Amino acid sequence: MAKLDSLLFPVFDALRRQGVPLGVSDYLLAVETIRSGLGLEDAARFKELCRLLWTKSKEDQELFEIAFAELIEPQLQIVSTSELVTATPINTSPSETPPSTISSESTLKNSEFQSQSQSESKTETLDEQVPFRPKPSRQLFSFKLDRVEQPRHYYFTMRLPISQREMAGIWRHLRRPQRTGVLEDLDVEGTIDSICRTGTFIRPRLQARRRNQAKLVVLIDQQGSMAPFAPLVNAVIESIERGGLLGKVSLYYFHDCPEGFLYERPSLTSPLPLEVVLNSQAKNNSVVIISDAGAACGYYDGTRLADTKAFIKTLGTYTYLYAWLNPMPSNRWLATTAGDIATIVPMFYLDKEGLNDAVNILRGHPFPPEVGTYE
Amino acid sequence: MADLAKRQYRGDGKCPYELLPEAWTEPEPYRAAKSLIEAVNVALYLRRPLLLEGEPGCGKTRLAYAVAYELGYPLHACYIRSTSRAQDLLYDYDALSRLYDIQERSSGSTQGKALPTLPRKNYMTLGELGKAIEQSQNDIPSIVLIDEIDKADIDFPNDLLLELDRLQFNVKEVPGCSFDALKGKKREERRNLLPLIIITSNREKELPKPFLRRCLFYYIEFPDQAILKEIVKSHFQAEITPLFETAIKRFWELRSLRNWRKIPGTSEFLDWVTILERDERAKKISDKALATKPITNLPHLETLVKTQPDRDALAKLRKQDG
Repeated sequence: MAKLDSLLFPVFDALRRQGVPLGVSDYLLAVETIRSGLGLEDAARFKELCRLLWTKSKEDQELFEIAFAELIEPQLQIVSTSELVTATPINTSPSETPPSTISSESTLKNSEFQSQSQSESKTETLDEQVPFRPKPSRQLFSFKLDRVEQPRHYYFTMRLPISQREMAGIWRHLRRPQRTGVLEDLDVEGTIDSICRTGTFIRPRLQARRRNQAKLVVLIDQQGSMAPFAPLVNAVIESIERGGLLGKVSLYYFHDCPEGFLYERPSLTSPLPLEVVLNSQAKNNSVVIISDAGAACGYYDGTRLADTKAFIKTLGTYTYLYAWLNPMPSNRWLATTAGDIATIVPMFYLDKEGLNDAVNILRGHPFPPEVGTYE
Repeated sequence: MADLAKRQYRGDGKCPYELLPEAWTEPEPYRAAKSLIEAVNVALYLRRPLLLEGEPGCGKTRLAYAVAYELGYPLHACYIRSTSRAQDLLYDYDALSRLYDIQERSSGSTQGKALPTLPRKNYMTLGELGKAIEQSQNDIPSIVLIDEIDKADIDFPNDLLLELDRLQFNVKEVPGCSFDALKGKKREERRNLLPLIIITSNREKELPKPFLRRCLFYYIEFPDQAILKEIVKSHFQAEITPLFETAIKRFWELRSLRNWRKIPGTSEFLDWVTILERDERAKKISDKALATKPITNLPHLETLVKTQPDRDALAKLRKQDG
């Protein structure tokens, strides 16, 4: 059991660290399945079994490939396919209690096959004959000459302050289920109520189904100081689109501060007047602004502050559900424009708690006490 | 039915087992990759839901039909819409017609004696998953297909968690009516009698983590040339003429031509080959002609290229080539 653990656990741990939703029961399930004999026919089947049990999306599969290649493949390569003939399922293992003669290096030189079966007898902790367990390090030396040096691959994953999956989960909270549309559901309470009032049953009362009426307008600061945050912003946009608000998200772009125009494309082309956009999209809907608000520049810019104040005032006439997401952490806002903008708009850092608070504000929670456009 | 534990999916389109009552008997020409066959058998052994993702048109839905046919199990297909609720999969209680019936009977009683009211159970109809659980309660396993689960509202997978885990549900409108596939025993004991649930998703929405944890995940890749040939063979029972081979080659070329907005998939390819076969029988095209036509000018491209941006891009390429 210990040997199987040492084989599987590193991969499991690597996947968990990357954010794949796995739990203890998944690990135990994998161990149980392998012990019952599935996936032991060859190395490829073993890999497929682990991939089937432990990955939950295409991206997870890529992470799995890397982890598996790095951690398990080197162990598996020791076993050549000829020994897999000796693979025995769990129910015949008691009859094959191995002889206790522990082989030393000298017997290794006799024959490859003999040493393989003897090394399998060595692992006394595992009752089943799992054909490709990692061997004790002494015997590895005799096979190292046959092994080709593995080329190292580097796979760069984004380390975001919050993973895309978590973001999608938080955006899911932005829902406004309201009963609108065609009346199709039977309103049991209402029907009973009308029967009680009138004493007879004339017709049933119908009500509409609850639909998610939340609409989100996303205003994104592009280029300039926001250029290094492009992958993070893309991850946020993708998580919003996957968060369940299908079709009711509009994206607009600006640079530094939306002064009179918003752009439809990330390259800051095809402008639309600000008031037109707000009038058509933002009325009573949630608006989120993603921008560093000058925190990445590191200095205080009075004109930027004044422009932003004017913009927030305009925005406030259309909707009160707005929040500001800042990719810079809050300790970097001090003494920059962002510090002052944070007093007029609820501003949050793009991590789990900050995003949670922002979505609460977008749902209609009251602003934090010190924030507001007071004059 | 003692061989339930030994039934395996082989991917060859034949059913060597005894058919269960109400089994799916329509043969389904489906060619699965080896790893997919393995995945189905592992899911069958563990009786965990199998989540399939892949390009649209790569055969996620048809797999369930193929598995049901080969194993001789009955099939329950639930096609999810955006307005689906988890409860609809389990049962539907028609409160309205019961109310109407009661009114009718009580008004009819002014003429004679009062008629007894019908039991509530008559007004309950089981949904597909509910039927599968009922069959499991009667010791008959089945295959349940939940198609395009990401179309539904985001709460839908979460509402299904308990039912997927424990395979039991109560009908709250009918007191004392409950269905339990496990019958109080442990899951391992009744494993071979539980339904196998196959779920397909188009990746439009992110599924919640507790739901993903309970499923086994498999991504169906686009088949390679060899499997594509097998698929064509199994769909068109006649032997392969050279036209089919040329079609496969040209289709592969077309796929690698550019970054498609909607890349042509297996089902589009089969439609195209059907039309080409008809043309070949009517002597309108031969395989040599197909091989020599420029890639942007293949016949019946409208079956393969489905979006305007793709068509515009092809038209541009056509102009470039002259």
